[in-house]
Amino acid sequence: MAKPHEVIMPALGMAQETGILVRWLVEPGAAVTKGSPLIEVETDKAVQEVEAQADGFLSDLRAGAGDEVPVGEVIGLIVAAAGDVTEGSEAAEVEAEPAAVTNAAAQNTQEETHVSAKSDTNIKSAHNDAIRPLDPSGRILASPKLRRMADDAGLDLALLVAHGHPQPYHAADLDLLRQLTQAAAEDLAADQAAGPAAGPAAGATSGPALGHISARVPAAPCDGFLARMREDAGLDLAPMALWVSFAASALRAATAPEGPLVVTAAVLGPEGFAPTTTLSNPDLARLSVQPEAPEGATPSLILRDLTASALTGLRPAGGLAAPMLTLARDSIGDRNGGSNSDGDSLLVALDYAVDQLDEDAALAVITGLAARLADPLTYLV
Amino acid sequence: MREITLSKAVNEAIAEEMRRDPCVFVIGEDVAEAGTPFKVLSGLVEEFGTDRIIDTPISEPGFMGLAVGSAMTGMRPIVDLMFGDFLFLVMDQLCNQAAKTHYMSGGKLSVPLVLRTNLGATRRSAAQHSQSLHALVAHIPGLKVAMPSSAYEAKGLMKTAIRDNNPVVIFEDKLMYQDKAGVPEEEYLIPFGVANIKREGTDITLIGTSSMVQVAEKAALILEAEGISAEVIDPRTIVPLDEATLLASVRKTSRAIVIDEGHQSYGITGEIASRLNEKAFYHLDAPVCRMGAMDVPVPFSPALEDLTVPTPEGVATLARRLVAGEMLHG
Repeated sequence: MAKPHEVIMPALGMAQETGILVRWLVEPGAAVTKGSPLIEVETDKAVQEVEAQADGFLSDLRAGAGDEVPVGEVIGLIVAAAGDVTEGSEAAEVEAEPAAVTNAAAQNTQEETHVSAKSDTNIKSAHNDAIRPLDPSGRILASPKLRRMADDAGLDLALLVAHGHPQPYHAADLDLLRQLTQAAAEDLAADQAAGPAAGPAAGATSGPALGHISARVPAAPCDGFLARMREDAGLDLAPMALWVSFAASALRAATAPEGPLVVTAAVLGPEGFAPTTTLSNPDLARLSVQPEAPEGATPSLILRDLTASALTGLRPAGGLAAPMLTLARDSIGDRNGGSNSDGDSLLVALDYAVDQLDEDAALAVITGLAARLADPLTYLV
Repeated sequence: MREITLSKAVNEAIAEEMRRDPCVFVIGEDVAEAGTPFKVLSGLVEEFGTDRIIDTPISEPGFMGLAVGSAMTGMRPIVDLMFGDFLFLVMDQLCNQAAKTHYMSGGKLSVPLVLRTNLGATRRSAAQHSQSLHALVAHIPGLKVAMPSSAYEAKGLMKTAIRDNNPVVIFEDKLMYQDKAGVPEEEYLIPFGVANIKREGTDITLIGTSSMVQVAEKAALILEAEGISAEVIDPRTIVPLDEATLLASVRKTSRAIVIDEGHQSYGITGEIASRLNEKAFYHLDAPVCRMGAMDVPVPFSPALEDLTVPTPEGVATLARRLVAGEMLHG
């Protein structure tokens, strides 16, 4: 009988002492082939798949899902014949005690790994035949420019491979890479929030990932609308009334909230921010009415109006109690020293934590708001 | 601005410089009575006489050597080499003597000589009268090489060449002699080593020499209709080469095609592409590509000859693939 191949906990990082066996990807007793995914291992950096290093049948499982296992520890065997399979101390699904023996000498392993983002869909796609590396050596084919940009931004091109994005890669693929990286970070954050047993993952990231989306729309439609209200209807509206109504309505359209939609709003003037007002469902009230929210209401949105200042953007340094919208004016007239404001733009930006808004909703908020600002009458009627 | 032919622009440049400096003279085959086969020098012999517009026998090495000697001893000869293909006949005089004399005499001698000749295929002149051989001389330290892309450049570069105290080889495209361009009445010179950005763009840089500038510009128009913004640059002189302008453009667009009518292998396109690779590597989003003439003797058959040189459609096709991020070679 051929000597069984030992499956060991691999060292995936330089200073790693243990790894968490997230799960076996193969049932005990099932056939495995060299190079196919066998286990999922979590380190303090990422969840990675580890491939089998031998053909055979999975046998004698000695660690189960969730176990923290010292690097080098044997966690199972791959035996040559189906008849040699023995039941180990572990069944694949069963939570169990960590394995006892440590093999401290085995710091390095022959197990090959490759990174994938931590979600089931990613793992499936990572082993689609269509996305095997074009280069037989496994080198990712990417332009020098993209490599430099990814390096500068601290992004890993392997994520594109893991998602089956076709090579070669170019600068245009950077946006997708950013999105995938953020999605991976969100998954990680969600998992950390869900399970206190995350162990070594704690501290890898502090708080949920932050997203940022911005847009530029012409200022003329809103300026014109406010001017007409003043001249034709005798209604002197503060621009903030329009912003807060549109912002709330765009958020409502994007997220369909069940309870009241509370917005805290403040205008930045020459002396700093004016007192904050907290409004409840401002998009459902008339523009001339500012429906104040009850004391202590939890805001769904923070709005900062920078249009009266020279600021064009403001990003929060710390955490956010709610998604934050900023509105600023990019005044061409001021830049050129003239007074013509035909070319003025409104700069709209949304900063949000991924546990507050998902990316699709954030995109819907900003596009919805941009549409409203570009054509106020349509959305107010 | 008035428009004149490239032929007329060269004629004006030489006439103006001959009026300005009595040391300038022209020597070559059929330059006086015939005014060259392309009629570029017509009228000069009437104004300057046969002492300064000198017809020679068919003897390229002879009159080239004569010109090098006269340049060393204080004259400013313009040697007219009827076809660029005849460069092979004057290589020793040009590359071993003219190019090296200043260096080997420790700066005691200089060779203020202009060799004006031509390049360009598709004139149905067959393999020995259709070559574009500027790479041969650009390879030799001590020679400057100018490649005008229109009448405007032809005049400004020729005047600069005549005033230069070192040997300059200037290549005119023989297909462009009747092409007109705006040329100011007032005097101007075009400095060597200053590229001309013919057209600004953001997606890809098309670097063309001589008539390939027009090919690049036509390709840019085709690409523009498809939403691809091509920048077109004319280096104007390949020695010295305005590397800074080329690099700045490629750093901006991340992609480049170098187009030249010399044979593609071991040519100008490879030299420029290599410099861009070396110095703008981390800004490249696609391989820098060369488009030269096919590596074959220029065919006499018109149908075949036209296939050997870069065309606007060919440039646009390659540009499209580069911008799309296609993998050109596995």
